[in-house]
Amino acid sequence: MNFDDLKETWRTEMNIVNTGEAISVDQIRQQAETLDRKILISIWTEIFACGVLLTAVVLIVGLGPEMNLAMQLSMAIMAFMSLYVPYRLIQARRTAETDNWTLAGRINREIKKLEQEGALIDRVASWYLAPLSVAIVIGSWGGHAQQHNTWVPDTSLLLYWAAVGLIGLGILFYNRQIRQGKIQVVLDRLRGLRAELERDAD
Amino acid sequence: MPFDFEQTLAANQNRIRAIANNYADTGFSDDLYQEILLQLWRSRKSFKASASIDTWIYKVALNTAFTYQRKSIRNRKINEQAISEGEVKQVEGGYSNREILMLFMQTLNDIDKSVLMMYLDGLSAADISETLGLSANAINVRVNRLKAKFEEQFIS
Repeated sequence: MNFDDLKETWRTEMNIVNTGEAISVDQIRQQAETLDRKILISIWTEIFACGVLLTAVVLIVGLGPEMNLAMQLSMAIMAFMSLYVPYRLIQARRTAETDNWTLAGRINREIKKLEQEGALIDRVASWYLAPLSVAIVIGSWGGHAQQHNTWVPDTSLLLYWAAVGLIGLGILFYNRQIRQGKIQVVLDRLRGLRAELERDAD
Repeated sequence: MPFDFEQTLAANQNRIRAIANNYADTGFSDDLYQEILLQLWRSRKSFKASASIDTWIYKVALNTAFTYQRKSIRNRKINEQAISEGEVKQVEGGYSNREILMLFMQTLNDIDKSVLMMYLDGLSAADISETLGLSANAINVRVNRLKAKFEEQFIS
């Protein structure tokens, strides 16, 4: 047998693998609609969660007890975060849409998207954990000062801060695991595919 | 002539199924097949009437297959190690043409496998280059390399 004899073998193979079931376009359309609905629900859930946080901040500031400067600052950071975090997430997921359906084009697009996601996770401490922790510490400190008439933290407040720090470290560790275990593995593979594609490129 | 999606799918069902079988890990080919159909539906508006349907099918199917593999990369790495070229040389005698084709495909990387599938399916170097985003010259180089590799493993 020579190389071009494989053409006939491939044609036969395509007929063998056909199980004969009819393709239902209605079923495909339904699946596409379900997928679109899930994506939409996911986006709106995030927007709703941010809206709830923002509303809670506004209600606490407007209707809650009088606040000292530290508590007001904490609330301001929380309000800012409720808008900034979804903005960063949306920015990271956004990749330039293109009509370039070539494999090289799609691989490059996928690599760019994953690099953006990876960069966001790499900097999670600066754009998410640090401001959130600062807001929690300042808010709880201000609340403690207002309640006990002293800015000197007691043991329970120190323990609370320690717990906040530990949770922050846990989130940081979890995100790094995702970065190494999922995103990096896929990125390495896609970069390998790109390198293989470019091997004979003119 | 208007683009009839249902008719296009029916005419290319075997091709799509074969691509799914060759890129999915064991037990996942039905999932990949469904995923390719879904992506064809979602990208149907990007199909231009002047373009070749074969090329469009391969573009979408291969793009889907390569990104779909993300879900089971670890399994795939194990599969890739399962058959080495050395093993093919040792067991080549007595195999049917179909088995030889499958064995040969398993020794190829994903890009070469896609080039081989399209070449065997009768696509021109220009069509393959349009699908992969490489020059026609680069495709010819790869096809010649595939021929040499096949001859080395199964003919000489």
